[in-house]
Amino acid sequence: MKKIALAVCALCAAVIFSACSGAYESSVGYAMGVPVTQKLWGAGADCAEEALDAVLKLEDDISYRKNGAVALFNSGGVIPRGEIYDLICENYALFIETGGAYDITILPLVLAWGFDTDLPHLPEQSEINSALALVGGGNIILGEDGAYAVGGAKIDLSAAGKGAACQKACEIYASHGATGAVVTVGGSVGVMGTKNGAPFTIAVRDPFELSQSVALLTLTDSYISTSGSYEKRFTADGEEYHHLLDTSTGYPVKNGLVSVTVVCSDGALSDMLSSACFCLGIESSLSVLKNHSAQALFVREDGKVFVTPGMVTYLECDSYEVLPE
Amino acid sequence: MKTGLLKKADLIIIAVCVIAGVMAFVLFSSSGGEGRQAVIEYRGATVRVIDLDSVAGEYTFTVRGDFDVEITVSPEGVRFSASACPDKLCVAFGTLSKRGQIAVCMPAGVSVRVRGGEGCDGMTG
Amino acid sequence: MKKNSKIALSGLLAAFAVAASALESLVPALPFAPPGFRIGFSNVASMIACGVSWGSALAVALVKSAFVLLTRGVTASLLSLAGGLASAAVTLLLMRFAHGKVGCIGIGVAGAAAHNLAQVCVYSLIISDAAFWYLPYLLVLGTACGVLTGILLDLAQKYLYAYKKTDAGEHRRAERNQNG
Repeated sequence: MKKIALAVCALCAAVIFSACSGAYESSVGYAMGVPVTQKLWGAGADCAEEALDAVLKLEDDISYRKNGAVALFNSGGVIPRGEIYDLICENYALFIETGGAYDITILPLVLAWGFDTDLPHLPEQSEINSALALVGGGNIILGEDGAYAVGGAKIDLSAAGKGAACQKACEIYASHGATGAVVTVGGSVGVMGTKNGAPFTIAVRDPFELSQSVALLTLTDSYISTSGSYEKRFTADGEEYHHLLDTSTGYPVKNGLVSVTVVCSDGALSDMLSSACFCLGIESSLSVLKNHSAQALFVREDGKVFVTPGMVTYLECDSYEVLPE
Repeated sequence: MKTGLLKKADLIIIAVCVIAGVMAFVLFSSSGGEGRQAVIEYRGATVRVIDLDSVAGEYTFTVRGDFDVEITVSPEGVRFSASACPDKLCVAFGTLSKRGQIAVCMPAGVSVRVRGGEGCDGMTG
Repeated sequence: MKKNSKIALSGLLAAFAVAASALESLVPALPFAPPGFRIGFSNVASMIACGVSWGSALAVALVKSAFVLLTRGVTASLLSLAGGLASAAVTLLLMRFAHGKVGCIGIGVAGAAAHNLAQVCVYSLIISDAAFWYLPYLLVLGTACGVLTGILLDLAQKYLYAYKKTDAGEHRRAERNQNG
């Protein structure tokens, strides 16, 4: 009798254990103005909740609409050395590297276009000019004690926020002992570990058919972010305007690209690089991507897809052209 | 009234339950085919789950979020067909059919996501 | 057992069931299990109540369901009631007609299975068919948890049986003192 009881207990333990190696999928959360989805292997609801809380907390600091670090910076305060300071340093470095094409002090221009609202509009040339006068990455001072603005500079870190949020979430999953995870914050994706040994499949949205994918990436332990002209756009007087603005002209970037997807081992960087490369265009992006060991997929307005050579091993795409090294 | 801990009949009961569970699993896997489901949520709570692999015709229903949204299910998939929100971004997501795809009406607090089946684990862009 | 003792015991069991269910809801859900799946410690109280009387079992199920009504709403309370009544019915039947042939583990597993089946049926009637998707996991996981609660029932019975013996003994001693 005892032996049978023992066997039954072992069976039950095995059952409960195997149930735990399935995936946990959280309900859709909201942060940074976008939906957040989480799927975990080897961790559950409490882990997902903790990750979402951390993302919301990060949003407080990153969003210029909230009351954290960036809001402080934009009202003339000083951000002490720490996480956000480091993030600003990274963004400043990319500003230098891209020759000003990527610039987080672009906020006045974004506001002039109304891209922070539901109804963006075409601003007057004078409004663009006065906004441009305030744009200039050089107006960020990174001092020993902290970071602060001069010349009325105002920053927007949302080009790095979602990627940074994915990384923050993945760090929490790892600390909970999750064996695998997929997190999406809006269009940024973070994959960590494996799904019971297998890599993850991440689809790249087709800019021309938003519910379809133009390519599939099979990978693990990476961050994938996309910048696309289809994300926030409007039509005025028959012309289309999107939200990725050229810091030299004040108008949307017009270089023939409709979307850029970057794969990188750093979350914030994947997000920053996708915006930067969109503004730079394919050719100028290549050296920047190489510097950060990142891969990219570019979709042009004629539908053609270009990828960096390092992406070929994990890419599945009907037709694409490989860029030179 | 005192009963013992474990008797022969108990093992039969356990066996029946486990076998029933396994049978149910086998039954559902084969009939579900790929087993794709559309999960409709309102502010974190599941409102409805639809088996996308067994949709015969097209039908529409209303989900009561912060305000009403209309969802249409068809053999092609699931989509937001109408919404009282100002930007109608939810409708612009189009028809969802693959695992990992999601569409959201943020003003209404309603989201639709596809789980199960083959396909991708997430989508960027 | 005297009638007053039965009522008192029922009250205690109902309170325990409510407290256990409240504590269980704090535990995070298992990954592959449906949301709201609990190990079922409060069912131990329900099963003990079945051993007292069917009235006691009914009371515990109703009180637990009322508590859920106040804390989680109407839908949740209907599910709780369905599960509670179904598992109580099965447990009562087994205790009455299969006494001696079925052990506590069997009762625990049968009660858990009845509880889960009833909840799946009610859920699919009032919310969505999706519940059936969970059925295989519910049956197997429920069996595992049923074994656990069955073991707890056995332990509880051993304790209560010892208590009852003392209670009956005291009662007889009191009578003898009165008559003697």
